[in-house]
Amino acid sequence: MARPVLKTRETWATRLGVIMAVTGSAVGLGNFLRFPGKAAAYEGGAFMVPYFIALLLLGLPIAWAEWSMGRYGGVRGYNSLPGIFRVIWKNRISPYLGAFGLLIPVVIYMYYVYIEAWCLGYAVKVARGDLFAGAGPEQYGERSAEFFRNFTGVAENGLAISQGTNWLDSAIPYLVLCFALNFLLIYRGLNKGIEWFCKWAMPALIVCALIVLVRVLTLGAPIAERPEQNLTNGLGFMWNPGTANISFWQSLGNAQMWLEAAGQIFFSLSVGFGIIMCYASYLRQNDDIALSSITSAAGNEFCEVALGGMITIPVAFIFLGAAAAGQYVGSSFDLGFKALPIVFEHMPLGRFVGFVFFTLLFLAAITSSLSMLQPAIALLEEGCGMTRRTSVAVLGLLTAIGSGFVVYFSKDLMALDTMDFWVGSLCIFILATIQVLLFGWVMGIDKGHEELNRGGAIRIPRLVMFIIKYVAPVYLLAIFFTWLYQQATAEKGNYFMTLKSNSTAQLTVGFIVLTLVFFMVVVARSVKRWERREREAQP
Amino acid sequence: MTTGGWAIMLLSVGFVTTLFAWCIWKVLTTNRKGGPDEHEPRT
Repeated sequence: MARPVLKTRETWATRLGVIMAVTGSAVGLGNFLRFPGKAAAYEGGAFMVPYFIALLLLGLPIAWAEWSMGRYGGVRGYNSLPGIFRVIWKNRISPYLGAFGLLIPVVIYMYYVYIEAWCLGYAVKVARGDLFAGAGPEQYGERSAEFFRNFTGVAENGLAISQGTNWLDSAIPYLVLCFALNFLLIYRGLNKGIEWFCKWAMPALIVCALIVLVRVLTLGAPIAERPEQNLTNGLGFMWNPGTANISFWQSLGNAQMWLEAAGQIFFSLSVGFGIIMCYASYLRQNDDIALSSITSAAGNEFCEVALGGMITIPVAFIFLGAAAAGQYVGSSFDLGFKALPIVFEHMPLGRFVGFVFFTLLFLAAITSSLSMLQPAIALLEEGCGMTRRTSVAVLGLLTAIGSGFVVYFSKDLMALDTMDFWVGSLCIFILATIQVLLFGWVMGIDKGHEELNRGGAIRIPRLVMFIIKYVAPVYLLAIFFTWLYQQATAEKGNYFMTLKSNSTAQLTVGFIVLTLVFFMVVVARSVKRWERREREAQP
Repeated sequence: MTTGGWAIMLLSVGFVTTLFAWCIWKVLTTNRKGGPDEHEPRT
């Protein structure tokens, strides 16, 4: 009989700590920009029907599967997805499938940290009134777009870096600060870094959101010449089920809306990133999963529906009107970084509220970006035996190269967009499918149900296992293939065609492939190391 | 804003707020169950 290999390991100090960390990982810019835009674009109220159905049949079940598998692997000594997958499925290929759980968060970090820097930069710039200095209201639209172009370098490759004496006006200094903060917190470890930070950052985020919400709900009709642009109509623009042209029931028959709602739930809860599984692996054997997982999901939904849904679109409607607000809803970046600065410039106390709003976005972004680093740190340490200092240095170098790539190839945000599609969308669908199949069909629902309920503060009914095994995979694959088909046949924004014709897209995919190869090599070394240690542990 | 809009907004916001509040209350009022720091054998 094998002797147990015992060691002390990092674990979460409190249940609230892990809940705040997972909620922080899930709550991001999407809660305050993407969700409101999607809901408003699809006759708001009607959108909520497929949204909540997807939450119950897709989002929550996959989250439960991730939490369960994570703790199962963690109790057996593994915090990285390759290690966890290897424990669950004793097949040679399983740790290599787990490499997706490294590629996805690390590549997403490379561009997400740049967006995080924009949020921090905008908080400062809006507070100082830098965006519209000397401009009249009729120039706000043009100034806002021009500022975004220069700040992010979207007009030309290398623009953000090559601003000569004005580089301090770009997002670069903020990017350096964000990088330093992320890695300082990761270096401090699970309890003194991630848990400590999220335990104050998440409440601060909610307080910021409540401040902005109160301001929005007390606006009334601030533009005397346009009394129809008032709060009630703004809320209606977001929440009314149906419009003059399309009824509620007709909306419900729109398959595209069902697809978008399910996609929004999927990305909002951050399932399929590999992060929840990694975070859950730091739980103790009898720590609660059932209540913690629902609480994290509920926290994410509160931020998205009750806060994001009540702020962004109504305030854009009030100050910009239906037509202009409608133009911006299709793009989170346009909504957040072009439309909202104009809104705050018009708003009474707008510079303060704008500062608070972008601070909120920054807190949402950094609690997410922080979580994206931990999976790779876990593998470098447990798979390669690196110390914290070395793993942080290696990951810091890799992500600095990747972020530098994103910052340089900034024309039309091509590198960022390409990474977001191939890794931040396609690979996530793949990993989520692997996870739900591993839980339902390899680990098995009997073992999975036992794992989910062990130490639980509430009991998850057996019906949920049926949903995880049969309903969630079918739902997920249906969305995945429909989305893939749409992407491949789109006339505009077709990433497959872009890959054939655009050299930046080709370089970006090449970079992604190199990163995957790097992680595959690390996984291969890790497997050898784990096998050697298991042989040594045999009597 | 239509009646349907009010209904959907209040139901959606009410549901997520109530759920989140209940969860936080449950977390704060339920004793944490824990185990030893050691982990099981790597199998």
